[in-house]
Amino acid sequence: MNGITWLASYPKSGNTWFRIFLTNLLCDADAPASINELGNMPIASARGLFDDNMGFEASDLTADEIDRLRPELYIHLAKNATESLFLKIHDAYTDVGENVPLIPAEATGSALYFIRNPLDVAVSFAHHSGWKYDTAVSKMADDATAFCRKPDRLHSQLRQKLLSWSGHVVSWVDRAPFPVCVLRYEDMKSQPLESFARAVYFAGLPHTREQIQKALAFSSFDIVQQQEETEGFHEKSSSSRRFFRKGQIGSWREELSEKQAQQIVQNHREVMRRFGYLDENGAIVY
Amino acid sequence: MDNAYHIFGLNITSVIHLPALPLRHPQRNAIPDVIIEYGKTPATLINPQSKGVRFQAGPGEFLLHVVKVARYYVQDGRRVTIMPEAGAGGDEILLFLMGSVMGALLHQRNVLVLHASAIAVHGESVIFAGPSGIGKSTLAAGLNQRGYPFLADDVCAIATANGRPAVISGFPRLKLWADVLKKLQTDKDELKSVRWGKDLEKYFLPIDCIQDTPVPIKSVFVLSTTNTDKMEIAVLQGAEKIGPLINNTYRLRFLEGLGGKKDHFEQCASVAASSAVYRTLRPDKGFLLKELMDMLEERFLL
Repeated sequence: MNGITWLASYPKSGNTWFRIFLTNLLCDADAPASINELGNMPIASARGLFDDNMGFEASDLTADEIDRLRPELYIHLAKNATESLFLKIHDAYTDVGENVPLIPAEATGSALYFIRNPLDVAVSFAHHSGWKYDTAVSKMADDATAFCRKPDRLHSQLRQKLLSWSGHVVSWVDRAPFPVCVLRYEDMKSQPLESFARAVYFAGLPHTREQIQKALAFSSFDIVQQQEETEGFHEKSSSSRRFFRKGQIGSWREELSEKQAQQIVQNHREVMRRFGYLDENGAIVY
Repeated sequence: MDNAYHIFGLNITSVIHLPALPLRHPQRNAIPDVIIEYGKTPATLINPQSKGVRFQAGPGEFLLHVVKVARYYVQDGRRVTIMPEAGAGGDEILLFLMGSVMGALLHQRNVLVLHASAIAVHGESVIFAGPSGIGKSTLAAGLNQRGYPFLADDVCAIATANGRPAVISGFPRLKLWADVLKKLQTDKDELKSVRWGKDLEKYFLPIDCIQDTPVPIKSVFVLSTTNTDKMEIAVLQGAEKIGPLINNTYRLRFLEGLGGKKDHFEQCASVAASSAVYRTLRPDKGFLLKELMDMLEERFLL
């Protein structure tokens, strides 16, 4: 096969929405796919993925030892894939040893990178994790931020180094040596057909405009929110009330204080400007 | 001088000291069921049927490579050859021997191995199966504190005894994380670390394991978590009992290479036919250990 297509993003940036869309696109059915059946696009840090393929369990290894084995895991998965392989990933693009990247180019076809206004990410991340907004703001500024990092317990997933929000973006967009297609959440919302079609063609999928349109309709916010209402969503964090909360552009304006918003802009000014979240005068766009 | 042990119902002669009781009456010149020795292992198998990142399995052969620890070569369920790598500690070599390697050996001997822990309840066994991190060891430790004898942790071997599937006890120790030990009010300062000197707060808890004979299975609880507040136990019926047993087989991928999937299905079906199988759900946030144990006890004491 042609290698893994990475669905990469900082948390709460549209990754799950895209996976729901892609599941609908690939199964091409007459009714929306269940949001609880995204199993064909697992997260790269799933413990079971490591354990099943390695031969011994991650739970007997330190986080750094696991990191050093993960590139081999992805090479193995890419080599043995019988159909297109999509993996979701929240890890930043980092090295696990001297010049050894976590994500090996030889296992990779390409990556879709989802980016969202960090002001909205902060709000969504806080709700997802059961944090105060201030906590989200400082976590997003901290290069040491990681998921599943405590060495005194067994986490459900492997450790994932996120870096800061800006660090995450730059790691994937500038450092990764393979083709990366950047998709802005705001564009996915405001020009869905154009944005999703671009991603589909970039990933080398053969689907038609009509099929893309249908998959988009089946993954609309109303439908997925309704599904979560009736059957729940496995990927919801137990710290949050619901996964599909608002999904709006600019909802930070009703949630963050002036000071919190300014802090985020100050922490991430350069990357925000680069991706159109600040205009040339430094004003917030969304 | 090699040591002789009785573990998983097997007489094992090992060059490595195993954390188990020595064979009480070793007979001179008796041929052991399994020999564990140091030696040269192949770099790869010639005809592997199943290949993972670090393991290869073919009919009668299994190879595992843990970098900076050892290569392990398992043949015909009878012989384990270990080739240590430079700088490997004895405890580390032992750790992977007790897990994946022993699992592969039991698979080769056509023994059903579940990824599970087990305790004894009034002469029968109760099994807790499920993926890593679900609470198998925690439950075995917690219920042992309530007085139920310990049978197995992680590698749960099942043989047929007197026509009934039964648990054969394994190594008399549990692997527990610091947060669980705290919950069990067990002091970790006295315990041996699973990986000495590594950034991993996981410890061996030695535990009495006196069962010498297979203990017939009463019930199997298949554990899973939910992101809701639900805690519930549901009894499975008929054919729906078999799938969860297959899915919770220890290192199922090894079996694909070693062969014997048909036997494996029949073994799982046999457990399903003769024991109660329950699906058990607990909230993933916070481990409500006491509540869960109360609920499980109510079921398995029925």
